[in-house]
Order: sequence, then structure tokens, then C-alpha cells
Amino acid sequence: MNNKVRLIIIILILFIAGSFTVAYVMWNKPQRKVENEKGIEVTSAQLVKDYQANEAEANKKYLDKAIQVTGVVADIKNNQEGNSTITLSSDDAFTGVFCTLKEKPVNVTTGSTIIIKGICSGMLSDVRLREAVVVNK
Amino acid sequence: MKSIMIMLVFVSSFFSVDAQKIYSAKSGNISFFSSAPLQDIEAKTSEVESKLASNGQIAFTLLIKGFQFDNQKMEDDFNEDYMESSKYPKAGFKGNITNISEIDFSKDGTYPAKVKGELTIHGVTKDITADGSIQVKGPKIIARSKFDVAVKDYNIGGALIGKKIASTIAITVDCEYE
Repeated sequence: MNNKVRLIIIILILFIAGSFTVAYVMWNKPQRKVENEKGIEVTSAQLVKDYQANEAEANKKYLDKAIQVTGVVADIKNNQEGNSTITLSSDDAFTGVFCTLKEKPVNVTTGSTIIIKGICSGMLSDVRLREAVVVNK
Repeated sequence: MKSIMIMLVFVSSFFSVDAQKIYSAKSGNISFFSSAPLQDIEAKTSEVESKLASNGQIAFTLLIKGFQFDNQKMEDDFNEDYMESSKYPKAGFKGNITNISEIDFSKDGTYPAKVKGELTIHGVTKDITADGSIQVKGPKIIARSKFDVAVKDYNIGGALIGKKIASTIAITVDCEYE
């Protein structure tokens, strides 16, 4: 009888400790890092085309996924917070892929072809990638 | 002579259309703050586009997935349980600055602004009014506003509303136009 009670108490303690550990691990889930993810490879022209053809379908394919986009740099800027942004051109002069970068890009010039990996936020007037990094070949 | 007059009227009407200036922003800032008994939550995004016309028309569109949190679990819960951002990827506002006549876009300064329009969040559209300001700084225009949104107005539910998530969320807009 005594043993049984003891056993139950031990199981209970283990269970509670286990629950706390699970909760703790879940709560401290590491921040998502695009560098650690394999990106869907696509050209900026194709990505824009897919979004223009059907935004809902494109969102199913790309939204919140890591995307690795190849394209020609149309514009390099800083946004109001001081983060670097790069726009990759597409076949449509009015629409591009607007990427907000984590770090200032080095050796990136307008007109050059580069690869950017970022997380797709969806489409505004451009397709948007966030937390992006320039991928060196 | 008459035809010249008509021409003049025509041309001047063109000019008045031209005088309407549209400012646009591609990477504005919108953040929110929720203060509940169990925790405070703060997140911000720069996935914000906005247009502001000198006649007072103003519009914002933002991508919900763009909100960044300090905590990944909070970000996941926000997207999956509350905003359902795969189903409703965008939020937006469309409206007018009602006291636009008091704002001089050609003169540097900070002008109080009253805004009225439709706010769409989580697929629900509601009329809102908000106070803010328009700052004119050379060629730059900066729009700022802070207003409260009741989560239940936008059909955002969940057992933790009122405990971990405040029932009223403070939204801050800070947007630089070119």
C-alpha cells in the first residue's frame, strides 16, 4: 500500500516536471532563421507571374515559406527604420520582388543578378520577402 | 476668342488635377501592443504600403505575416489561432483626413489630423475614426496615429482573450512618404 502511494507520487512528480519542461521548451522555441531553411528556388519573374495569375494559389505555394529568388537588382534603398531593402525586377515594370534584408548588403549593385533568400509575406504592389539575406554562390 | 477662353478653362482644369499630389510609402511601420494580466505582447511590421493624396485620401495595406515578435511561439499563435493569416493575409485601411484643409503640404510643420474610414482586419470591415498627425519635412511627409481596436469587433476569438491577450489592442502607425 505504502509502495503504491509512493509510486503514484513519483509518477505524478514526473508528469508535472515533464509538463513544465514541454511548456518551457515550447515557449522558448527558437526564432525562425531563414538561413537554416531550404528555400523554394524561383526566379523573380516567375514569382511575380505566379502571384499575378492567382494570388490565393500563389499564397498556398509561397506564403510564410522560405523562398530563394534569383533576379536582377532594380533598386537598393534603406527603409525608414534603416533596414536595407532590395527590389528585384520582373517582366512587369510595375511589379517586383521587394525584399527587406536583415543586414546591409555588400557588393550588390543595381543591374546585377543576385540570389536572395527570405520569408514570403505575400503580395502588396510587389511580392514581399522579409528577414532576407543575400545568398553567395 | 470664345474658343480661347474654353481652351484656357480646359487647360487650367488640367492643372488643378495635376496639383493633386500623391505620396506613397512602401515600407511604413505599423505596430501593436496588447497589455493583459498574464503578459504583454508587442509586434511590428514594415510590410506596409500606403498612399496619401493631398486632397486627404489615405490608404494602408499590410501583410499580417510580416508582424515580428520577440517570441516565436507568440508569432505562431498570433498567425494561427487569432489572425488566421493564411486565410486573411492582409489588413487595410481606406479613408480620408477630414481636416485636410488645415494641413499645408508646402510648409514644414506637424499638423494634427483626424482620420475617418474603413478598417479591415481578419476579413471584417468596420468604420473607425482616429486621431493622428501629419508632419511635413521638406519633401518628406510622415503620418502618425495611435488608436485602439477591440478584438471582438473583428471576430477575433479565443479562450485567452482578456487573460493573455488584451480585449483592446493599441495600434501605432508611423509611415514615411516620398
